[in-house]
Amino acid sequence: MAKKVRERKGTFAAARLSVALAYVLPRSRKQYITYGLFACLALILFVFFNFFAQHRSFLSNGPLASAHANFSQNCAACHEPGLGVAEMKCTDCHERFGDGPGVFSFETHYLYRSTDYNQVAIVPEEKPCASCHMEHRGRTANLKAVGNHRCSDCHTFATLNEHPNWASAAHGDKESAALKFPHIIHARELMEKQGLKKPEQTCLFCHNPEPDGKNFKPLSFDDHCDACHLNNTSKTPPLPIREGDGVGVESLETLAAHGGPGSHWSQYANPKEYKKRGRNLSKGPLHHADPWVMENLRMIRQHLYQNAGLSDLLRTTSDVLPRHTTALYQEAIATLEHYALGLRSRPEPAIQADLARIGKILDELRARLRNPYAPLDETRFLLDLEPRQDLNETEAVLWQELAQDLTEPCLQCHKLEAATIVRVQADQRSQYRAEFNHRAHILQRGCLDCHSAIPFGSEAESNDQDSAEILNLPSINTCRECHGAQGVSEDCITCHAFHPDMQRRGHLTFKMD
Amino acid sequence: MIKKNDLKSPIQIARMWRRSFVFMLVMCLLILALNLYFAELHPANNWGMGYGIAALVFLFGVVLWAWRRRSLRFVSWVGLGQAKHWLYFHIYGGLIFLLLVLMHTGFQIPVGTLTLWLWVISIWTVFSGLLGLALQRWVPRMLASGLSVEVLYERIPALVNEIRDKSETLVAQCSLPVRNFYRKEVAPAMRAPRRRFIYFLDITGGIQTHLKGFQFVEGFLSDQDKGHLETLAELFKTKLEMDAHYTLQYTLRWWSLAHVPTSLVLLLLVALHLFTVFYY
Repeated sequence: MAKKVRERKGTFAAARLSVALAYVLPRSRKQYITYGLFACLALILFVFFNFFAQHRSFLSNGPLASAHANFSQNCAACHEPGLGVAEMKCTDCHERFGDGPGVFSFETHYLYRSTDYNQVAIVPEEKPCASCHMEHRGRTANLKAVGNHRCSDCHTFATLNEHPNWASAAHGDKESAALKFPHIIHARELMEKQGLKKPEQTCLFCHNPEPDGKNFKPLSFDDHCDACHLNNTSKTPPLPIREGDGVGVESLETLAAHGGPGSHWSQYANPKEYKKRGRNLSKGPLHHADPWVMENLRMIRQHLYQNAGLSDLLRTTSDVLPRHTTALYQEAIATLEHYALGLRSRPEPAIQADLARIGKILDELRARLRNPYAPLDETRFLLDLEPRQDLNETEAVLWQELAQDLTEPCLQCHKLEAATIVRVQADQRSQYRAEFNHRAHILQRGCLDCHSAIPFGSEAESNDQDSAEILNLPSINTCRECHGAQGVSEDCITCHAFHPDMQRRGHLTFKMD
Repeated sequence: MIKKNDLKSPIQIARMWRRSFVFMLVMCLLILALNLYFAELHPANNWGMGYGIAALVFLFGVVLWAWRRRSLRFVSWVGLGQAKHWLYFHIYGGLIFLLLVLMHTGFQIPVGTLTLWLWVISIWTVFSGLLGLALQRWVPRMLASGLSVEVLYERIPALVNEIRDKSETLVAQCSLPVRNFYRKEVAPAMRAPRRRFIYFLDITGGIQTHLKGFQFVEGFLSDQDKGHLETLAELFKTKLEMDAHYTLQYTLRWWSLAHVPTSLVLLLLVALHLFTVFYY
């Protein structure tokens, strides 16, 4: 029987090729594993070579920023084996030895922004430097650019929309002001005198920018008010001259004769400014912070109140924001130095004893100011309002009225409390936790675009609508009009700095601003 | 004992794995969206480290399949499930691994040498694996659809030699025109198997075009020679189809050269990366 040749693809149809005599197995692919292992071996050898001869450049996550480029070949400069980048590695270079908590610590951040020692506490969210300032991102990486999410690890808001309104705005649209100052009247007068067309042009006459353009210099009578106020016609009303223990002002001669601390101005005063008519005395022209008025006010306070204490070292009351307590100390020190200057040439034992006392107080105040971590206490300058026990009501009223009469020209602008001129906040800065640059904004927005509470040009212009009490500060909504909405940066670091200014390294905490 | 999984058809199993993959993909993207809302994409923050750890876990699972393939005795003794499930995890897990790597790097090209190599090798390994998967689906289908022969890759050289010998024996019996035609047009192609790129685009590789020469010559031949020519044409066609097999099966065998060694290098680079992270 003929063998049937089956038509199968396995015999390649018409070609009738031979069938394999044995099973044909595919070639083993173990060679791929071998190739891979050889490649791994080569890589391991290369890594070893690189580790020891090329400073581990292969293992690095990327080039360091140019500021740290010198450490590229020294990983141990920043890295601790098994511990990552330890904070002390950063502080070794970035902090001054023995600088207490240092400029870049979290304690300094809490203190310098809040001025509240109670906020200095270890918080679980605290991170080492390297977690915010990430390295190994290339030579041109900006190490200072920290994302918003880093701030929101502690702060509950990450965008400007969630940011709470300013603390200053939280007080409402009015604040207590120590000055009677209507903006509109002053602006209109300036516009008339200077031939200006817009109220905005008058702003810079008083609000003088600092050289860097960020904020404005403190207001000063001599610079901003003297041109119009307290001219030659300003004078006190006739005031009774004090006789014995009676109520009245002390004349120039009496004050000069006292020779007490701070009286040597009387040696140089112009007696023609003092006009006596019978038992009354008036002074004119008056100078700003006239020493005769100040001296008499001090005398009136001494008669009204038990113990003036250090408040006598100030010309005005001691109402200041906690950040400005330094100014009180500085004023007190200046007063004491002025006293000491006048007394140094006096050999009398009583004067020398006064000098010694003044010196002691000076040392204490200076030491407080020098120590950046010593809290300054403004309450030391508060006037003790406990009335004198030997003062009857009638006398008290007379003294109070005398104080009012004495300061009548002053009260055109100032306020009087407890026979003391109320302190005017000369510093125009209202935001301390943020860095606001006026110069960067003035090119795009006018003054009145943001500071719009004063009703310039409206039909409602009147003294009732315009006073120094008006808190002419924009709310955060004004900032949101551009920042965020128009694509202007709303990153936290646009306005806020985590670390205080390095230039003030030795004067940390709330003494910096 | 019939296990529960055996009751599912391959299509059902494939569908199940596909759905799992889509679910994992969606979860990863959701987590990414949350990350973008709360923090930045950075390898060193908690989110980035999480992605890295997850990628490592998936890589470990993916690599286990390669071990399973080589430990059949142990696997069948212990009973570690069917190979197809492991293969599905190898494929889909590899894709999730790549996504996690990209999330870990913040979808940016790393600047460090090691991290750049790791990034490139990860992408290369995953894509070479996908290429292999595609080839394994496409090549057999192509070979079965357009060709009339099936042949083992390893036998092709020997079979081509056999075809050549048969052809020469046949041609020796033919007239001069046939011998000349064979010498000029057919003999060069018969020397050895040839790989041609055209077979990726057209599985027949223009076989009909090559056979037109035979039709032209046929008109000049006697009946006896016509029969020989026909046989010769069949042999030539078989040889060309073997060339197609030679080309396409070659890619099936050698694509893993692009995948397996680089996967070993990938594992080493991951180990180095872990070392640098924990040491430094």
